[in-house]
Amino acid sequence: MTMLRLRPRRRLRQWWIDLMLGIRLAVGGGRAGWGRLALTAVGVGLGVTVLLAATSVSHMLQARDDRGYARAVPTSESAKIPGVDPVYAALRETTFDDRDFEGVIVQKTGPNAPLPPGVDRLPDVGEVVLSPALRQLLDSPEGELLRPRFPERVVGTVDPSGLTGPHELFFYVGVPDVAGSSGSAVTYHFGRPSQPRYLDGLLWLLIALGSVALLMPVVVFVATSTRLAAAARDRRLAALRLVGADGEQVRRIAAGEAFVGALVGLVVGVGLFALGRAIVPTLDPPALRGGIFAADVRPDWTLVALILVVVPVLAVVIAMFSLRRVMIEPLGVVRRARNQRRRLWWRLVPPVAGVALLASQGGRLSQKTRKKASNCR
Amino acid sequence: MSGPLLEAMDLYKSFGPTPALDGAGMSLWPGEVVAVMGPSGSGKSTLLHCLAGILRPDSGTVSYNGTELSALSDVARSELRRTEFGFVFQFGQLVPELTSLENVALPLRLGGMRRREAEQAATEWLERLEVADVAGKRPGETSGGQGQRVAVARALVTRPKVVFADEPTGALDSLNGERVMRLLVAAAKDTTAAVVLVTHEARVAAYSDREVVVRDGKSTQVELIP
Repeated sequence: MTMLRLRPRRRLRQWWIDLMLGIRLAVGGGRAGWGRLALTAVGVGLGVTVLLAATSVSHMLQARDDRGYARAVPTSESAKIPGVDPVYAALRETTFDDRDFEGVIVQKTGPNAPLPPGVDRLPDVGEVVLSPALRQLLDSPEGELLRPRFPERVVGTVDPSGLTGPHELFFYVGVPDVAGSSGSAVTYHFGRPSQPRYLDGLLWLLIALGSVALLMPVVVFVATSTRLAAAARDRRLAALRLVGADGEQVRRIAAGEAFVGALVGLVVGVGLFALGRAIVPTLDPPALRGGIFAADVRPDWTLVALILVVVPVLAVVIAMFSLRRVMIEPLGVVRRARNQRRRLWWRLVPPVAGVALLASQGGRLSQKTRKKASNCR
Repeated sequence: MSGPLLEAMDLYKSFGPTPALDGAGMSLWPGEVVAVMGPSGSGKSTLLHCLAGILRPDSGTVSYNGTELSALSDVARSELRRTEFGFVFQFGQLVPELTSLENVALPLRLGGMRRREAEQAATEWLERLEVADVAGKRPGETSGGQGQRVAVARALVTRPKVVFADEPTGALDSLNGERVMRLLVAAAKDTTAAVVLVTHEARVAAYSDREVVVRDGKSTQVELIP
């Protein structure tokens, strides 16, 4: 009887065989196996969706801001641009049926007027260019009372490059006396330099808390499905031990199984995110006036790469972790019943971190609340 | 070889306060079939598990080819189970997620053999055990008798030196039980594997060359059939 140490190449092949065997076990369990895999995949997928959505928030807000800056009316007289006929322009805001409107009144001084983004031609006096949402509202029975406020001839539509969101109610209207109206400026171009948006701590905190709140049920779901599948997995691994798999091999096989669940979960997560992205333009959340363009919901690619790597690795690590107090023997699984002292400190980490984060933003929160209250007055 | 292939001496094993083995011992010579008999709860399965290195006795020795099993590491004992030993149990030894072919090829794959070679060897054994027709079926899709013959094929695919069979026909009707035993013993003889056969049925024990009786954790080597 000779116990030889495997050569590196053979060891690598054995690792590959063990991982492949784990993958085979994950997808080969018939209806029950597929059910287990589906539960894990849905759980991991939901988690991935939440993470992808969270990483998209920054870009989404920045893209909205950028388009807002690109169409902004300069507040002071801009420098002359040769060949461009300046425009008198002023921002106007109004409401209808509790809905906010924004638009720009313009007065051209010549045929070579500058164009704001998303507009083919600047309206002349008596003409208006509308956002699709405003045009739809005006055409609908709901907009009956609004129509008298837009008696001008509609000569165009603002395309998405000139809007912050698909539901934004925005207009450019040509009027004869902009020069004399309040807030007007004479300009040779539209737009102001875009400011990079740094999400303030409070917003980050809200994103983090929202993500944790959404991830919590997902974690419970994955943990429950893992626990439900544990008995079958233990039987399977014990059977492998009986035919000669050693402890390390069994762990590698379990890792292969977990990897498949995570991989399918990634695909499910990316699919759900794509689905959510397609649905987003149909929503009009009050917090984001005008809604969200699908193209703006774009996760940070560095973070996406991180998620794509971390999720499967994490799944494998969790699978290993779940086996740490388990001795898989050929006759079954022995749980090491050693009474471990329950460590309180790591259970306290999440609530303490939450309180610390809230405390760090508490001052800003009350400041914002006071500011809002004074604005209301 | 001058000594026995497998030898257990003075084994004691308890599960909590319950003693399972109380000084049991036996020896196994190459190529022989030994039936371990005794009533339920007498300790015969525990003896088999200790002989196979699956359980460590509380005291006493089990040596295989002169090597003390309890001195071996987990990796070494696993390799021993994979290469030198084969197992046929009453229930639960086949992996339910794998087909019969994959189950039989499993010990070879765990030893690093390439898939094609492993499945070729597995196919030969499935044919030999007359279950080639269930090669693509999972254990849940085969009958009890077919499942046990697949288990026998898996136990023998590595051409082990010892096959441990614990009540291999316990869940089968007499006809299927006879068939499994006939094939198991014939295949073991062909490959010169020794067999430790735990049973409480005399008709199954009749396939053995000699018998060891276990009662209250103590063993007695009763007869040597010429």
